Amino acid sequence: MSGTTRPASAESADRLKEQLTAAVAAAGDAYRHTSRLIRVLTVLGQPSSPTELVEQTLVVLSQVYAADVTATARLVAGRLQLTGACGIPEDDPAYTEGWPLAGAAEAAVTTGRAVARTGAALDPATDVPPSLTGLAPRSAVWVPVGEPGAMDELLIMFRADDAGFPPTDLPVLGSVASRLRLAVEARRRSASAETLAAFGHRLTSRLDLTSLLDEAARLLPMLVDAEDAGVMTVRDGTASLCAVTRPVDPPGDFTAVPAEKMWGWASLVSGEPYAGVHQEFGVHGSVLGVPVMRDGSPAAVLYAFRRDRTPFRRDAIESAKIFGNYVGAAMTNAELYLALGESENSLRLITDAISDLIAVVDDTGRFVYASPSHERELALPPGRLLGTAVAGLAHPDDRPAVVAALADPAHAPKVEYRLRTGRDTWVWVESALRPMPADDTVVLSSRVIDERRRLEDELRQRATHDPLTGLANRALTADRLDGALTRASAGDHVGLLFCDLDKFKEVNDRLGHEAGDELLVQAADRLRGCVRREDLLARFGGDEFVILLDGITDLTDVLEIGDRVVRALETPFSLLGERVEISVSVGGVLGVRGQANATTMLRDADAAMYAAKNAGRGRVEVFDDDASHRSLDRLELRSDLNQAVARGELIVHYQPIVELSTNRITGFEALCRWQHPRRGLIQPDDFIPLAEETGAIIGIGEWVLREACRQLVEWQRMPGGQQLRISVNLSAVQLQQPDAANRTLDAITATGVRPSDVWLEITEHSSIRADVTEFATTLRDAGVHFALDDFGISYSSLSHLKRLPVEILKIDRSFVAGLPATDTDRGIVRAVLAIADSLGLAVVAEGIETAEQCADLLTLNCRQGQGFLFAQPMPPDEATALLVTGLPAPVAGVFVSAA
Amino acid sequence: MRKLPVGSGTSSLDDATAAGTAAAHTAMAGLNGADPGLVIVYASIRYDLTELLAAVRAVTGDTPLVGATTAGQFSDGEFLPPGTSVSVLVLGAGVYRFATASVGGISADTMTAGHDLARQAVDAAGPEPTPHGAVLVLADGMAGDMQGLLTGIYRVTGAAVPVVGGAAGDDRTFSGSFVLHDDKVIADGAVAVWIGSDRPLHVVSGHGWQAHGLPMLVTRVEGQVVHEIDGRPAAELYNEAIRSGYAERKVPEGARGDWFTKHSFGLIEPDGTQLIRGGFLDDEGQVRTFTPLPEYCAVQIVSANPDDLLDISEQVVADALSDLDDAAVMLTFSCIARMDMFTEREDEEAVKLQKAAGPVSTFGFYTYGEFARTTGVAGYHNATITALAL
Repeated sequence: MSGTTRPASAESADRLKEQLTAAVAAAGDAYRHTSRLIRVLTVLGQPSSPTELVEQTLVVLSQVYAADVTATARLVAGRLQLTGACGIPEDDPAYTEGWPLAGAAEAAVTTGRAVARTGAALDPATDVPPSLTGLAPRSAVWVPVGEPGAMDELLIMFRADDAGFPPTDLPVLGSVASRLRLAVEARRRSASAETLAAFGHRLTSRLDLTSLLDEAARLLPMLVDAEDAGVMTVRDGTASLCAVTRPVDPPGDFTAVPAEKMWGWASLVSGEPYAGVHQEFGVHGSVLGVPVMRDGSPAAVLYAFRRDRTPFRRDAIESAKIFGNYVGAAMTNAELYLALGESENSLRLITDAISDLIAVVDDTGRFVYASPSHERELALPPGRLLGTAVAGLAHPDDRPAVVAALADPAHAPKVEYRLRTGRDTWVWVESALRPMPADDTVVLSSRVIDERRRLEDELRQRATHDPLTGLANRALTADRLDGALTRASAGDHVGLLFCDLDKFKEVNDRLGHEAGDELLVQAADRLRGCVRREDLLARFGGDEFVILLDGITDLTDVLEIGDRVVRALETPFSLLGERVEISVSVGGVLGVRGQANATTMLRDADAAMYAAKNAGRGRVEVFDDDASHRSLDRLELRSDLNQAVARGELIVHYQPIVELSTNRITGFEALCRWQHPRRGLIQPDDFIPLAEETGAIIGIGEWVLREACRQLVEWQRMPGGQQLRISVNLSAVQLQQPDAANRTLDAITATGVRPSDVWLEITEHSSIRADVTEFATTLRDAGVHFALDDFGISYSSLSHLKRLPVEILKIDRSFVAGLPATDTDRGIVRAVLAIADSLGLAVVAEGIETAEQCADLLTLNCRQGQGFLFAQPMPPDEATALLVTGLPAPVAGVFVSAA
Repeated sequence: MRKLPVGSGTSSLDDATAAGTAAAHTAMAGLNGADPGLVIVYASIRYDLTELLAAVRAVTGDTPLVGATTAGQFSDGEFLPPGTSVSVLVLGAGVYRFATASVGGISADTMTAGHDLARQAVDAAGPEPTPHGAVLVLADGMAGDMQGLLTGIYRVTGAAVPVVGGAAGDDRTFSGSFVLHDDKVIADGAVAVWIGSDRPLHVVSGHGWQAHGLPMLVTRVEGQVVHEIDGRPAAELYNEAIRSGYAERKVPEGARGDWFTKHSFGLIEPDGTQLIRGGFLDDEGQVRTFTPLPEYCAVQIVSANPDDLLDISEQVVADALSDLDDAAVMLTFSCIARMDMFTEREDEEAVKLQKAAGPVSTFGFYTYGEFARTTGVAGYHNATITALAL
């Protein structure tokens, strides 16, 4: 075996190695080509100005093609004008003089195809421009760009070595070159658009013709890349020079030039720009003329001049044309402004006549104009207001809002504030602000909104206060108690006194309701004397008063204040000239901030009060924690309640809902009662809160709903009963059950009733959670309707309307009680009806007790109601009987404007 | 053409004034009485550089001076490791036309800085042009994109003028480097010498790294952080291709523990060769390169061993001197990454260079990046040795 013969396996290994090397090299080439293209495309996609874009692209091309020189050139007047270069020193004359169009460059432009030359094929005389003789390039490529048949740009690359540009590179380079051109054009267009927009603003801010045309002459060269500009106005076939950026040389009279002698008039008169080269009047180079067309003929001509013969770019000409339109619009503005000055007097007459308060305020917030209505409405003569700060007239509390709104009227277009009138009174005013950017002023359009604010305040007060005594109500107390308990940082404690007048019912029965109310008012006054400024005195309804002691040391303090209360009410009252003696039973508890809870404190104070009452009236009983737990009475009731449904102790009473104009019964409201084996009939107000606390309400609520639906099915079988419907109250606790929607719907459908005959009433102040939407949607889809109970009591009423698909509002009995005599109540009822009307909702008035209330409701266009006037809540058999007989017809003559 | 008078001197004295004086005296003596035309100073950052310059200029007078801080130096076969040492080279006047310039604050915009630097240097050379030229650049390589600096220079000088030089070092302390111009010590700066010549000047370079594995496309880069390669997390790929198997490698004294210089990225050039870009994993586990990689560039993993790297030094000398028979000095710039890979053979390069150069003086320093622009605008390198013979 010869020593030089290599084993076949070694040869094959070598061959494999070679193949591998070749494959890696091929992959390298492929990656390099890909990389080239992506890098060029990346640079084309980056944000930059047109000039930067060209420069960056040429740098990248130099890197990825190892080209010593990369350049772009435009064909201008038979020469190549450099538009960008990488590798040619910046002081090379090529940048100003360009290169001759010869050799391969000429061939590329003429044929429209890329030309690559290497080594001997490269002719130093014609292919290599003078700038590059020192470099002695050995290979080069010329890539033409432009419209087919009109190539006017070249991408050129030179290399000092003769590696050459293979034919496979040419299509890529062609694509790169045309993409570069497109990208540059796009950048230039967007730059022009930005410049045009900015210039448009500058033009419109010129409101007199002379300065407008001066500005136009100054801006035009920047827009079209020219050195100078001039403007000639044209009127009746005669032109006159009215603005120039450089004096005409030699000077002459250019005030009455026949229009047809102007450069490019033939194009300009038809609305088209003109571009040419001229030598006269000190102009030696390219001229661009743009007509400013108004009413179909040039009202002016804008000229731009360049000292060299480089023609204006097509996109520059387009921009100039748009600029001409802007100038035209600005000229119209300037003329309108002039006319406006003349018509200002008539405008003043108009603003003087309107009743809204119109004012113009300068950028320091002072009146520069005030309409005469200021004197009529606010007793503030306009003359006195001029130069006065608006904020100076505003209430100190509202001043920051006014100042903020004036500082940024675009973001605070409306502001409400109290304003001091010339009669030295405060009135609520709403001002709409409208900025006038032209002169940095703000136009205020204001009106007095006292009445609306008063109603709103009244509603707010109603929501949180007892109307009889003006004391806080249960809602406000609970809120304040919650707040006091969460202030864990304070070192002291919170006390609560629950006060119940003894023998109040007797006084009421003996002397009448009015005397009873008077007693409550007097008692409230005396209690006010017992509390400190930081405490809160509340009436929970009936004869129950509650005192929240915010900041006490211990239970002894609670006891002490409780004693003070007892003593304060010991002195006899004078009612209807009669001496009346009453006493008060007081229960007190102490709550530790951060630990105690409002509901429990109220419950325990209540229990302590009962303990005091049981111990012999006119006493104070305070519960410490242990004692609280002993409030067995309540606990017992609670535990009884859990069994009530099972033991069949609950019953449903029904109160008819009637059509007020006819007394026809349209449906019933189902109301739950508890027939306690030992305590007798318990009212819902006494056990529903307990049931809500314990959760028993869920079972009770469902039972009531089923029972009511079942009853409705029975009634609907009676003659004429098909149209009846049933209203059932739903507790907020029920709503919060995870499967509330299905459980409720099951309860309804199980009875066979039509869901659309069922109205679920939700108490407005029940804490409706934001996420009841699913519940409401499911039930509404099934046909069930929703009513909002006790509407008007809580200030946040309208927000509930958004969350629930409510179709009926029930006006709370407290408002109805004030009808027709009390203006505020009437105003609120009217407001509720207006809200309902605007939202397309029906209204049911609750607690109608007198024929006068009923008549007044009809006058206010309220159609439906319920109350003792028609019937009390009654057991089902009585309700059935009432359905058979019907209610007595309304007394003729009472329902005056029922229609 | 008359031969360029050259003198060089070094000192490792601890005192700046003493070291500067000693090195400058030796260098001046080498001129044999010829007038000095340019002084080049390479020094450790451990010196009080202002004092050092004052000491050198007390000897060399107003002769234009340029210089840089280094990560080790070499002069006429002598290797001066990172640590107190200074090398001074004095070139005689009259053979080449030298004009110097410097700029500060280059990190704000390296391209504008490069343009201004070249403009000032070219203008300082006077209105009468020389037929040929080259630019010597020394810059703070940690002050941003050094290719930008070259692009700026290219705008002024064009394709016909090669650029050579190096990025200043700081003895691997990464505390910041300086360039020197006359009596000024400049941070975040660059200094340049326009070298006007009657004959063409050639910048040469080489690296000795070998590519292996398939090419890959860098698909996402932010500055010096490489996020993705071939669409995959770069750190994952780096760990697979570069780090694995090198965990126990001895780390050169003073170098970063994560400095895996045996492997680097090779940026595939238009002619198929590789431009070396050193990479490392930073504290956050991100792949970083000393010089930003262009997004969507094609790379290959490259590796090298000391013998390949030392062989290339000889090749570079041969290329630099190939068409010159009267060269006097070879200005050489070798990368710190190379020295790291020589490990215990770190003094061999200086000896090899001088041996290959024969009678021609060799003078240079270990850099944080090399400038060698010869073809097109690209010309910033890592892990490379580059030279210009005068």
